[in-house]
Amino acid sequence: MLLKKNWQEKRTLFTFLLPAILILLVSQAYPILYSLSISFRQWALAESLKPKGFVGFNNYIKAFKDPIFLNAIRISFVFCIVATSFEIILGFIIAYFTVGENFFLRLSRTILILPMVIAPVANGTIWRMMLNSQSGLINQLLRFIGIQGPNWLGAPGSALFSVIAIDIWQWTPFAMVVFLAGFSIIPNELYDAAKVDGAGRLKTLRYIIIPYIIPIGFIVLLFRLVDTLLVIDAIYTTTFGGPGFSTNVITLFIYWQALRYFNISYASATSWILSIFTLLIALSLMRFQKRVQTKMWGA
Amino acid sequence: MKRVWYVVIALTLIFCINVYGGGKKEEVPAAITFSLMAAGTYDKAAEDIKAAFEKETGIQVTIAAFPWATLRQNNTTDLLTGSGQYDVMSGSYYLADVYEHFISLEDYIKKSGFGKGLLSGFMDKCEHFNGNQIGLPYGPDAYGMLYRKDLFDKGELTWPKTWDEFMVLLPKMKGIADANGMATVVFSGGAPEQAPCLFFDKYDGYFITRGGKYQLEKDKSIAVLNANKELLKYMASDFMGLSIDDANARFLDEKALIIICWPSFIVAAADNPQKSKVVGKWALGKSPTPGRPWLSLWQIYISKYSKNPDASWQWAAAYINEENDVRFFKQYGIGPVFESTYKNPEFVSKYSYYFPSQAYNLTRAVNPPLSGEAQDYFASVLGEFGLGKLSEQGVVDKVNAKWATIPVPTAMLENAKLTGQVQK
Repeated sequence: MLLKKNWQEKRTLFTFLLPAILILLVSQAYPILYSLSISFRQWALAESLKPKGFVGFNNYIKAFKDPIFLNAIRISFVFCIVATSFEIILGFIIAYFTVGENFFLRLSRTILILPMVIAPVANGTIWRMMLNSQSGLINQLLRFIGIQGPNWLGAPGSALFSVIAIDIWQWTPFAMVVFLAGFSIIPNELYDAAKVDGAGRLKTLRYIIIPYIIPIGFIVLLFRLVDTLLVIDAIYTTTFGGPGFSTNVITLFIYWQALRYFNISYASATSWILSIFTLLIALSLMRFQKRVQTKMWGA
Repeated sequence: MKRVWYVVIALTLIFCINVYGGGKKEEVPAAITFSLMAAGTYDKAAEDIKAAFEKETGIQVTIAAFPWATLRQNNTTDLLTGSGQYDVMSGSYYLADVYEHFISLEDYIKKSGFGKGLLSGFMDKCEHFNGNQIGLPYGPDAYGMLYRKDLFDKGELTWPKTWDEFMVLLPKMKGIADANGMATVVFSGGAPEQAPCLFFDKYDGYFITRGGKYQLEKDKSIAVLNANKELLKYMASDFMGLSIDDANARFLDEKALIIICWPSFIVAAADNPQKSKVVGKWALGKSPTPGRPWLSLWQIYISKYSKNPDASWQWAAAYINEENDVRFFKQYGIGPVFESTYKNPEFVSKYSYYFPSQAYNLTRAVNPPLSGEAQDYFASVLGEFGLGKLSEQGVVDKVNAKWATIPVPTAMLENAKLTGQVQK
């Protein structure tokens, strides 16, 4: 009797879930599987409106032989590692110094969050103007103090540095907000106990805050690593991948292949390479997080 | 009884006549949509003639103007999906991948006699597909050089006719520029897509081999890159960070002796005392030989998916004609395509420092037969050359290696043959 009731309940639940499952299947699973199938076929929209024959792993082999794509992977990883590291470290430091409830701290937090709420395209456009070597605000300020500012977006090294800096400027507040939330879950008793034990600020940070914050740090790390690997807006609006290929990241490469040159199958294959990379990074990170947590807090 | 039959037959006839077209039909006016760039010029000109055109023809016109990148995307998507949202489209050679989706204009051209009086060779410079013309030209421009004629005259220099003469004169030009506290040459090196202009204007080799593959002619390319390497020494030291507007501002602010630019982007400002310190001091140089200056030629195409191709043609022909050529140039500064406008006495005397050279440069200018992918790659590699990261030989090897993998769109091959850019 109980078994029958259970089954009936499950059936009712499934009936209610069915529309949502169908929508998900149509809107997400189908395009994903379709793009996977396209990546094994030959399809340039300019040649034909329909995909042509099966070409096996040709598109994937082509990608790994393509120096522009390999360079794009390198640039993406540099971007991802440098930007994420700075965003997490700076986000933590800012959160640490702005935690609290007085008016000025609240005001500073509100102001510090602002970059995050600007649309990335607007953000890129504003920075492109500010980094203009002639009329940009940054070089004007540098000139004011007697320094000849560099050609921020016109030289390979400084262009990559600039787009990374733009990402850091925009997304450090995200890390800050999450860390601030993390600080709030640390029980006050722990601080009190530490005070009684004579722990100073540094020791409290080392033995109480950091161990508590590490799981949250992993979440920020995961979000930012994935997000920086998928960055396109800031680069599209500032350097468009140049000068030369110095800021040409994977997402921009895929965008060009798909929407400028209409090489749909090649774009699908490179998208899948990016997705697999991203998935591997996310999985390794989650595994690492589990190991760290087990080590710190036990099983 | 007979009478009843007559009535029935009569009623049936009336019914049939009404059903099969004899009845009064509601006439639906033809409606077309014209997509073009939101530039404050071409779109304004279209708006300007819209009302009169609608009144005269009864055809309803919707003008859909977008920024360049959006226009390119919208047009291409519309054609590839066969939506037929835009009947008449504005574009250029970068649409080569989708030429097959435009209708042939040959019959319309033959019937109307369109093309008479256009600048020499302009019908050939329009895009063709399967031997048929698919585009009609308007708003042309040719990459060129504006120079400080007053300072050239003062220094007793005449504008060089060949690139060899130009290179020989460069030290003298630098002397003049230095004496006036300005850069010798300024160029928008910070706009990566502009880099190929410095190559195209000196290169008269082929871009496509006899076998139909993209390739640079080695010796000629190296010679051009050598000349450019020398030219780069005379550029403003920070030219790699200059946008088109920055570079233009330098010239307008008397901080450069020569600017390499799209003239249509600067001429109006250069003649405006509110915006320029060089009013009456500049001239457009005739592009030195050899080489083919980079042509920017907007064209009007009619989509294969248009439900009203005849109405679309009527609109295209109303937009591009001798009368509007003068009117649009006067009102919006749109580059003329008709010879008569360049010979218009009012303009000839008023723009003697610009018009003859522009007409000359336009007749020499061509669109390079490069697909978007081939041109983007070329521009990026030239950017690396400009930064000193690649040698001349390195550029040619790198470009040719990549180009060997990029297919030449059939339509590009056709146009390259018409403009002499295929290996002989």
